[in-house]
Amino acid sequence: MTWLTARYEDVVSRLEQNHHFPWIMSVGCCSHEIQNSSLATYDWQRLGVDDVSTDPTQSNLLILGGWINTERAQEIKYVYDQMRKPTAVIAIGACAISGSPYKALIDAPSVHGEVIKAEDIVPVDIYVAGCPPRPESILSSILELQKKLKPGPSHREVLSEALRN
Amino acid sequence: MSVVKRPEGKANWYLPGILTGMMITIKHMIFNLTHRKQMITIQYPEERYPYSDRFKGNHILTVKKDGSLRCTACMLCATYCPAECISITAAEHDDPSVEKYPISYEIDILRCVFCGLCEEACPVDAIRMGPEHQTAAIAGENFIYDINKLAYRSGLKGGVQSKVDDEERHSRGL
Ligand code: SF4
Ligand code: SF4
Ligand code: SF4
Repeated sequence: MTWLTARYEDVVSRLEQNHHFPWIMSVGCCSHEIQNSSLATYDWQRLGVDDVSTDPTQSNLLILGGWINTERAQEIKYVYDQMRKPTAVIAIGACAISGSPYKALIDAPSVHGEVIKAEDIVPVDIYVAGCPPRPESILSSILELQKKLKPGPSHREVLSEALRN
Repeated sequence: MSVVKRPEGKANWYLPGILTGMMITIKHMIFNLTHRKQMITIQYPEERYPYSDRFKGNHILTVKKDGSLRCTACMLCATYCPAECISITAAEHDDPSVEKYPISYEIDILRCVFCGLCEEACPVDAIRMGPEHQTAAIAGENFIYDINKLAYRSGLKGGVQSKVDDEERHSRGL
């Protein structure tokens, strides 16, 4: 029985390397690009990112975008703690990564609150530079994530290499 | 408690509606399979979306004819940059006709907002916004782009030549 359970967990963890259930926490202009990369033109389901579920406890990919103030930081921590482990985190855009478009708030926190970097709240796996990054960059961040979870040539690379020859 | 009573025999009447809806989906599927060229989905890593020439992607430092950097380390871009992500260290050049050149030119790509103001500020066409889309990378990789990456990365095939040349500049009195 333990052998079966071990096999089952092995298979599940292998499947999860190429299958992500996203939970999107994004405000501002970057969220338009995230929505765009999930729609028909770019369609991230091709790369194994599933539909957004209704519950963070079922998701294992946290996508952060837009600027993070004190309240959003609390929310993000709350959601991250509930999510399925191992959780991958992608930070999208200069706001979430370093807060540089709101540099004035970093230098002098005001009534609008302060800007918090994503890496100070949760461990970030992939950074997508840009303001906003193109949907291609977001798609390539998912390819990078799969490369991180499973080092070595991916099925896509092997297949395209075989088709070229 | 109110219970909606549905007539028994008509319980299966939802089926034609569902099948009509499915016909639309299947029609689209067959159309897409037979007209692969007209499909709107871009197969990303193999296919690329064509961008216009003014697309603001990763920066390029242009080079002179002899392959050295065009930049004169005047610091205008670093002063103008709204995200304060450019850091330049200037040094004196051996050649007396060249005033200064940068020993190190670094752009913190995680702070950059790709606004293109550095390109507008530069008086000698030394920095440009390139056609490549922004990069995604695993945490812990190098996000501070140095001269090697900005001017001589493999995609540029040995550097992009600047439109303004030194001799031309001197003859025009710039
Ligand atoms: S990083 Fe830029 S595009 Fe993204 S939310 Fe911030 S200001 Fe908007
Ligand atoms: S594009 Fe804008 S933010 Fe980026 S280096 Fe140039 S001036 Fe600075
Ligand atoms: S890139 Fe242009 S503006 Fe910036 S330091 Fe060099 S010459 Fe000056």
